[in-house]
Amino acid sequence: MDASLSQVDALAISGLRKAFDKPVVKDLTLQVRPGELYALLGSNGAGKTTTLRMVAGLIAPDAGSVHIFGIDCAQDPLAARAVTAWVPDEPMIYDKLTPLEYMALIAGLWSVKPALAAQRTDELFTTLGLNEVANQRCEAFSRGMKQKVALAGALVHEPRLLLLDEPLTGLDAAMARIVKDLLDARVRGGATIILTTHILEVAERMASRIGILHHGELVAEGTFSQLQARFGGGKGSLEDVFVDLVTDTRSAA
Amino acid sequence: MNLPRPRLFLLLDHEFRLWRRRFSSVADGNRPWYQSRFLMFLGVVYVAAQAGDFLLMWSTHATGPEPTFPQLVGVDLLIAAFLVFVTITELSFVIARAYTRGEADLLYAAPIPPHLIFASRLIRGALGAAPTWLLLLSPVVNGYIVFDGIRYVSIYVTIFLVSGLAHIIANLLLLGMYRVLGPRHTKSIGNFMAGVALLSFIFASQFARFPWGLRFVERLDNALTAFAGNVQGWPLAPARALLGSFPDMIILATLGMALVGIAVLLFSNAYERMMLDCGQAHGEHVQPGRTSRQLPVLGLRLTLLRKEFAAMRRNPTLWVQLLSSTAYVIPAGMSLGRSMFSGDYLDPAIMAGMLAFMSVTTSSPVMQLVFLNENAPELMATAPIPRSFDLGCKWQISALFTLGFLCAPLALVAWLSPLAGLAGLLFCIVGIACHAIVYISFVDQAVPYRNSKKMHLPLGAGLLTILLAVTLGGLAFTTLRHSWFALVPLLVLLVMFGALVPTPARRRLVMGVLSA
Ligand SMILES: Nc1ncnc2c1ncn2[C@@H]1O[C@H](COP(=O)(O)OP(=O)(O)O)[C@@H](O)[C@H]1O
Ligand SMILES: [Mg+2]
Repeated sequence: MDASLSQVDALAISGLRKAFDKPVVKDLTLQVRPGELYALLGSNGAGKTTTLRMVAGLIAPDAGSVHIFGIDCAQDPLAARAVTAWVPDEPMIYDKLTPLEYMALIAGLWSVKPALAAQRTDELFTTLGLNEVANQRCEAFSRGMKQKVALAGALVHEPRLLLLDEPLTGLDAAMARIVKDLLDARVRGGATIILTTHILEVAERMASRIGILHHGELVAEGTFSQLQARFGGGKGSLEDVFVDLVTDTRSAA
Repeated sequence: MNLPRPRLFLLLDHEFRLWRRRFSSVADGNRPWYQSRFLMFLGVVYVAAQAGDFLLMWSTHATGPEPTFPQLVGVDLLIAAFLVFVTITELSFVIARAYTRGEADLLYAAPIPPHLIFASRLIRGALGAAPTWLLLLSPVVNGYIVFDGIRYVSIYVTIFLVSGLAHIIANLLLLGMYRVLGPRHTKSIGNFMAGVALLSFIFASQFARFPWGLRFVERLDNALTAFAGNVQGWPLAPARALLGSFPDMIILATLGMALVGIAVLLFSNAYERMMLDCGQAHGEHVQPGRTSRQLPVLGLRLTLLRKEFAAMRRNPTLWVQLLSSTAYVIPAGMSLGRSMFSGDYLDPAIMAGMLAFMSVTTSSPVMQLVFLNENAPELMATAPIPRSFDLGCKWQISALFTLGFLCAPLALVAWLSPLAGLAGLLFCIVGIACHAIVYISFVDQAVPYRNSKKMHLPLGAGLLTILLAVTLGGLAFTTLRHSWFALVPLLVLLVMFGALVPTPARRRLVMGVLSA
């Protein structure tokens, strides 16, 4: 077998463009390999959410293509969605449903076997501390709680590609730690995760590779130490790298 | 007292901007051509309906002499009834506002005295209560103005003032309920009471249609004529204002402002407590206990249907809306009932028409909940199911729910006349289907634009449609009674819903319904 076929990218974006009133994503090309935790880092309005929403198939790109595990999202969206989960920054769950009913809904939508779904729900609820509220309607939940329910829902069908938009905002420090561990465990189990963040520390500590998005362009990409070596002169935190890059492109423009 | 004035204006400006945005987005540009055509078409038909209304009034109008004491009392009672009616509807509005999560937090966290916030809310609400009623009553009022003189603009002014009063009273009622019931129960009990009050109100308004009611009115009239009270007395001020007396309008306006002043003086702090309390009081609804070991996973279609049904069942606002939409049909239903017992000839067209109207008013809140208030559109859009399948399931559950709700009236009509029952059922299904198509084509566009103002368009279209239905329905019921012509406005309504350009969304829906 051809090595390139067995090592097909988990996500391959090429030449992706999107303009609303003005260009938001400009000719973006990036690859994420299976088993990576890739962080898309950028300041507010850099186009991170727009990029992920195009990957999730929520908005159509103006140009370019998105392949998830070799599946062309434009050609076969359903096959792509079956292996993908999308967790938006504003948790979108059903107010009138309980967390358990929500899990049953997702399991039904992704056709997970009932016994398997029950077992995974049990594990996820225990890890995320959702057992006490499992039978309460979500309308009274705090933002962090809703986010946990949304995350549990995304994980119950064990997606091969997990798209997370700003996953740690709204969670307290202890819970952020738990979620980090949960995501790490998924990556070790072979899942691929792409998350966006504007918090440098999150990218620095969690991601195996970091892409820095600025005004819709990928201005730098690499592991943390690569970025450090290339831009920070081998020392300094990611914050320095990030501020350097962002101010550089700004003054160049 | 150096700063408060500009700050009150600042707050009012804020409140009005929020309010304006809700409406201006309805008419916002940048839409596909068929949507703007659709809105324009609705507008044109509405204007045409009003013109038709004028023509009919032309043939029937007559100017009367100066109003007598009993007449003034009658008008006064009418205004009182209107006040009660608007107060009930405003009550559900202020309840919804109080329970908007965290809405009050920002304002009350700012260094602004609470009475300014309360005052700005009251003033905005009082001014905002009227437009719906002004619009709804305009076909009648315009007739008066055109044929009986410009002084009948006073009717608009009085409607405006009385609706404002109703809003203030509704706020005071809410404060009282909150004091008695606490934040947990105010919402559900308040909404329930508003629904019941509305129903009983509509029932009560029908009493003059029955012989005993008529006798009561006659006796009252005689008593009032014998009593011959003072036409200039202050209790009759609303009636005189309605009939064009300028000083009495001033009295009503002063009363409104005084009420605002007193409320603000006495209840600002209570209002603050209530708003902060209710904004946080999302009661913890616990559903029957299950453990994650017994996760009820179903097949795809049942999963979707169960989700929508749970959302409907657990939404008290929907039930209140359904109750009140039923309320509009009660007058027609009662005339049907009366003619049934008196053995009159009943026109099947009218009965079928009534059912069709009912299906439109009933399916509207259901569809709105299912299609527009979908909590997690992005989840549905990223699930591995065709979009048409989701839309098809949504259609099915709304249709089933609406038909379930219409079961009793359908059965009644079918019992009176099987043919009319069948026609009514067909009308209901077509009406529900067309309604769904409109909602879907809007929602399908709205999904990619999350949080976008485009979501408001269906609300505008819905409002216009209801206006139209009311105008046309009124025309049909009053003038074309006992003739198949009563179907014409209904056909117009259906064509309006149905004869839209076939968009991909609609094609997908049809596919979805067939495949689901
Ligand atoms: N639906 C939309 N319509 C118009 N402009 C949009 C829309 N979505 C995003 N934008 C614009 O695109 C830019 C990038 O937004 P976003 O991708 O959300 O940034 P980020 O997630 O990196 O903070 C912003 O300037 C935003 O205003
Ligand atoms: Mg974002």
